[in-house]
Amino acid sequence: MRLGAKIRPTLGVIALSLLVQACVAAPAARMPDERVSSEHPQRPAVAPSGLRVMRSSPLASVEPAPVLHVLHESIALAMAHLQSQPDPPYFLAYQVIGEQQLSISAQNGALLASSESSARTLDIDLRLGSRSRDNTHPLPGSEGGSTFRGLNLLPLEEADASLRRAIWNATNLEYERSREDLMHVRSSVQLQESDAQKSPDLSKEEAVRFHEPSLETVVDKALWEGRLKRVSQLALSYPSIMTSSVSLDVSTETRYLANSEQSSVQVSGRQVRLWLSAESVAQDGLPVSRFASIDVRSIDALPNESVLFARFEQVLRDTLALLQAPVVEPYVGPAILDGLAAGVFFHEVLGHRIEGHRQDAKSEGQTFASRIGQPIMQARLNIYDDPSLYSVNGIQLNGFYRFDDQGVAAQRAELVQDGILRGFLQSRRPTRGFPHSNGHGRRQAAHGVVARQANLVVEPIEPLSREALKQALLEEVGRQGLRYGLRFTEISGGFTQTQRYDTQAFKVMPTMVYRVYLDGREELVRGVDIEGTPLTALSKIVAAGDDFEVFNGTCGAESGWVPVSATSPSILVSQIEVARQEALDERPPLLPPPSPSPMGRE
Amino acid sequence: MGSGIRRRCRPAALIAGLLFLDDYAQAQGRLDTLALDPVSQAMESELLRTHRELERPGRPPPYYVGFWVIDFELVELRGSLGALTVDRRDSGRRIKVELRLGDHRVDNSNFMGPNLEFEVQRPGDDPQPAVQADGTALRREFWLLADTAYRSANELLDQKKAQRASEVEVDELPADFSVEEPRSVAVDRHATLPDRDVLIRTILAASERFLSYPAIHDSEVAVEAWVVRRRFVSSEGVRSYEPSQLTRFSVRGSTQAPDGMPLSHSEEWFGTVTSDALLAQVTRIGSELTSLRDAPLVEDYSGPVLFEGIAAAQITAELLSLSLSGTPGHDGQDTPLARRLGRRVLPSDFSLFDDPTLDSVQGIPLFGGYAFDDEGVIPQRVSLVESGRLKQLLMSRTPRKEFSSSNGHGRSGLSGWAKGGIGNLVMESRRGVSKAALRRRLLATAAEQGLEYGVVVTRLDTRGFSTNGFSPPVPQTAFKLYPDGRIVFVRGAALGEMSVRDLRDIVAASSELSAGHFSTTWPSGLETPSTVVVPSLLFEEVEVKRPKSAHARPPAWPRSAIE
Repeated sequence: MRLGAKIRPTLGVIALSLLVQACVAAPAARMPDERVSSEHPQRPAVAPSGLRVMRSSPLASVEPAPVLHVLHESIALAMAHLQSQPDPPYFLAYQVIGEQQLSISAQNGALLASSESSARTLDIDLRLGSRSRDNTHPLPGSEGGSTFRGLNLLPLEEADASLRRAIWNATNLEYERSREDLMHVRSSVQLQESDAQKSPDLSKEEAVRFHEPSLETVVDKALWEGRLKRVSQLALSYPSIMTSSVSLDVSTETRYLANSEQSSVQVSGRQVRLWLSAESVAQDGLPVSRFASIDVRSIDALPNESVLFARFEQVLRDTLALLQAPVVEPYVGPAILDGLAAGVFFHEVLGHRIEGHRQDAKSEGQTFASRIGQPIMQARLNIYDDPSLYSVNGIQLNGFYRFDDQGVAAQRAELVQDGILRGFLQSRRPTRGFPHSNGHGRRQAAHGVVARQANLVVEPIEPLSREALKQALLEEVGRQGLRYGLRFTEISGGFTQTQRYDTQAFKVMPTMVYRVYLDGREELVRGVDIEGTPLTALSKIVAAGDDFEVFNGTCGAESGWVPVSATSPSILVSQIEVARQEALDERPPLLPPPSPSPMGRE
Repeated sequence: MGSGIRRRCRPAALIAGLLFLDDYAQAQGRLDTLALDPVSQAMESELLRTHRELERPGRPPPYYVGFWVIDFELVELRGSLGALTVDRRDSGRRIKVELRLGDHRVDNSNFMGPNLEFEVQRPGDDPQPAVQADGTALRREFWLLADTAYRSANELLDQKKAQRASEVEVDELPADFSVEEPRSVAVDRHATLPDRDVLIRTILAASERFLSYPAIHDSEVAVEAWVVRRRFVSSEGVRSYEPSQLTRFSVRGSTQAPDGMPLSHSEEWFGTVTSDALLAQVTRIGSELTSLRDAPLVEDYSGPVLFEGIAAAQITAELLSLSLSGTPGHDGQDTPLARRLGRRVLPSDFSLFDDPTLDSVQGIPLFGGYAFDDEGVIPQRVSLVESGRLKQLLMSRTPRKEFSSSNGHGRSGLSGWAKGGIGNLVMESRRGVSKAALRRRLLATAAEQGLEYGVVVTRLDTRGFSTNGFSPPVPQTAFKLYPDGRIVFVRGAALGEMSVRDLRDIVAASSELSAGHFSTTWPSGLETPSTVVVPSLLFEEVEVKRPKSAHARPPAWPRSAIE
C-alpha cells in the first residue's frame, strides 16, 4: 500500500509539526546520569558557553542477534538472484525495528487506558539503477509527502523459517514497486533536462559493524496504574479544571540494520515519558491548557510519587492562573523567548529548513539552499545538531542515538557558526556540495528515511546574564515607545511549512506568556500565537542569555515521528508578531461539576 | 423451524424500569447487584441531574437522556509459520450520551445538521471499585459530555424548526422518537477472556502447518477475543446490563499463480474453535490455495450460478443486511427495499426473519444476539418476509409511516443515531432440496440456457458489511460443474453487478442451512457481530467476468532459493 502517494493530494501542505514538552531544569527533570547504567555516559565536557554536554561511550560489543545473520544471508541471496533481472539492484538494506510499548493513563483518580503491545517490522531500502540516478530519485511534485510504505510485520521472536519467508515475500513486492518507480524516474528524467546537475541519489559511506545488547523493559504495571490513579485524583480538588490526565508511555526499541555494503548494526534504546496535563475553558470561550512532561530513558529514573504530585499540582495551578489571566492584545514589539520557547523556535524556523533533502527539491521553498557561507542572522550564535549527545546540563536528550537508520554513525552537524550558515542535516541523499551523510537519516518504522533533526543545540558566543537580557528587553521596549514587552516561557509545540506553494511561515504555540512592564513587573496573559517568516524572524534576534533549557519532544515529518530535543538559551528578539489565538466557540459547562470536592483548594 | 430453534438464556431479571434507587433496590437478582455497583450509581446520579437541571435560560431541560458505559477488554494474537507476529492486550471504557430536546413529535434527531458524534473515550473501568467508590471521575465525564450534547441539541433543534417553518408539508411526517414501555434487563452471564496461553498455542500450531505448503507466499493465523460489558440507563427509567464475550479466529494465505496472478484466501470463525479443528481448516486452505495456482483462468460467463454454503450467506448479507432497515434517512430517503413493503421480494416459498434472542438455529450457533439494542430496547423476533412478501422492517425508535414503534433492532455502535440493523438473520425455503438435487437443478438451468456447464461459488472474500452500499464481492473459490459431474476449479472470477432485485429470481434453494458470521465495524472502532443463516441459493442469471487488467509478475527472487 502506498499511503504516501494517497496522502499527498489530499494533504495539500506538509505541516512539519512538533509536539514539544517542556523539560525544564526542575528537580524532576534533572536526572542523575549515573542512574542510567545501561548507556555508559561519559564525564561531562563544558562548552565555552557554559553548556555542560555529555556523550555516551559505546557499550561492550556483543554477538549480533540471529536476526542479523538472517538479514545478511537474505541480502546475499536476493542480490544474487535479482542480478538476472533486467534492472538488477545495486544496493539493498534491511532494517528490523523491534518495539515493546506500554501505555497507561489515568484521569480524576480512575484508569483511562492501559495497554501493552509489541511488534517487529521490516523496512527495505532497495536501489535499482545507479547511485547517480535510482528508483528513489525524487519526481517533481512528489516531494514532501509522507514516506509511509506499509507495515511488514515480522515474528516477535527468533523464528528462522517464518522470518526468511517474510523477508523473501516483502523483498519481491518491494522489487516490483522499485522497478515501477525506476520506470517513472527514467521517463520523467528524459523530460527534465534541467535535472541533469542534480546530486546523486545515494552517497558512498564506509561499512560499519556495531552491536550493542538489546534492552528489555520490565515495568510493574499494577504499581504504575495505582500511582497514576493517585496522582490524577488531585485534579478533583480543582473544580474549574475541565479535563486532565496523567499518563506513562514506555517504549523500548532494538534496531537491526544490514546492507549489501556489509554494514551490520544493532542498537537499542528506551524512552520513558510521563505526561501531566490539564485543560479548561475561560468564561470568554478561549481554551487554556498546561502540561508537563518528564522524558527519561529508564523507568527507575522517573521521580518519586511526591515529586509527581508536586509537578501535577503546578500544572493545575498554572491552568487556574491562565483562566484568570487577561487576553493578550495583538502586539508587534520586542520579546524574550526563554530557553524552552527558543528551542521550539529554532527547531521550526531553522531546523526543518536545513534538512538536506529540502535543498534540491523543486517543490521546496529552499529558504537556505544557496546561503552556505553567508550570514543568516545578526546574532553571534553557533548552532549544531548532535545525535551523539547523551545529556545537557544533566538533562537526558530525546534525540540521542549512536547510528542512524541508514547505518551511519551519528555525527555533530555544524549548521551555523557565528551567524553564518555552514551546513545541512544529511542522510545518504547528498545535497549539492555535501556528498556525505552526517548520520541524520531517520525514520519511524514503515517509512522511508529522510534527514531529520536529533539534538539541536544553540550556543551564544557572547552570552548575557538573565538580568542583562531583561534590561536589554526593557531598553528596547522604551526605544520602540511601548508600554511593555513580552516574555515567553513555555510552548506546547509548533509547525512550519516548507513547500514552495505554501506561505513560508511558521507558527509556535506558547502556553505561558508574560507582559514585562517598564518597571520590571511581569503579568501572565493568555490567548497568544507567534507567527512569522523564518528569515525575518532570525534576523530579529539581537542577544542571547547564558541560561540553557532543554525541551524534549517528538517531531513529525515525511519519515514519521522521531524523538528530538532542542537546547537553547533565552533569546531577545527586537520584533515579534503576536496573533490572538483563534477562539473556539466553547463555554464553561452550564451545570456546576458533580459534587464539588470537600477538599477544594480554589 | 419449530424444534430447531433454541432460545437464549433467560435474563435473570426483566422488569419495568423505575427511576429511583429505593424502588430499584426491590428488583430481583442481578439488578440488585447492579444498583450497588458504583459505575451504575455514578451513571444514575448524573443522569438525574442532566434530565432535571441541565437547562439554559428560556430553554427546557432535555425530555429524554440515555447514558451508556461500555467496557471492553481485548486480546489480539497473530502468528505466521509458528511464530507470533502481533501480541496486543488492551482494555478501556467508552461512554455515550443520547440527549433529546423538544418532544417525541419533533426533537433534535432526524435532521441533516452538523454531524453529531457523541463518542468520546472515557475513564476505564476501575478494577478495584473501592478506590473509586464514589464514581466522581465517571460523573465528571458524563457532566462534560452531556453539556456538549445539550448545546448541539439546542442548535440542531433551532435549525430544524427554522427549516420546517419554511417548508410546506406534503405528507404528515412521522414522529421523531417512538414511545416505548420502559423495560430493563440484566443478563447474568459469566464473560471472561479465554486463556491467552491456550490461544497462543492454538494459533501457532495452526500457523506452523503452512510450512507444509511451500507454494504459499504469505500466511497468517490470528485470534481476537473481546469481553464487552454494556451498561445503559435512561430518563425513562431503563437500567440494563449485559456482559458478552466473543472470540474470532481467522486464517489468511496468499500466493501467486505461475503467471503472476495474485491469489488469496481468508476465512473467519466465531466462537470456540479447537486446536485440531483449526489445524484441519489450515490444511484445507493450504491445499485449496496450492491447487488453485494451477487452475485455469475463468472465462466470461452469464448464466445460472449456485452460491453454496457460506457463499450464499455472504451474498445474502451483501445484498440484504443494510436494505432491511426501516429507519428513514435524515433526508426522508428509504432503502430500495423499504419502498417495497407488502410486495414480493423473494420467491413465494421463502421466508426471512431476524431474531436476536436466538442462540442457535438447526444446531448452527448464532453470534448476532443481544439482550437490548443500542437504544436500550429489548429485541423481538421480526418476521420480515412471509411467502416471499415483505411484511416488516428492522426498526429502531425512529418511527416510519407504517411502523410506530421499535422492534429492538436499533444499532449505532457508539456514535450517531441508531438505525434498524440485523442481529441473527435467517432465511428459509419451504421447497428446499438436497445439495445434490440443487446441483442437478443448476445443470438443468444451464442446459436450458444453452450452456455447457454451470458455475458454483463456494466462498467469497471475507469482509464486514460495507456501509456504503453494494460492491460486488470477489469469489475466493469457484468451479465449473459439468453434466458428467466433472468439477474444474477456476481462478480470477469476478461477479458482475447484483442487486436486491436479483433475490426475486432465485430458482431454487437447499433444505440445509449454512451460516456466515459478520461484524460491522463502527467509526468508534468497536464491532457489532451478526449472523446470517441461509440455504444454498441458485440464482437464474449472474455475470461472471474474466479479469481484464494486467497483474503482477511472478516473484523475481524465486521461492526455491530460500528453502
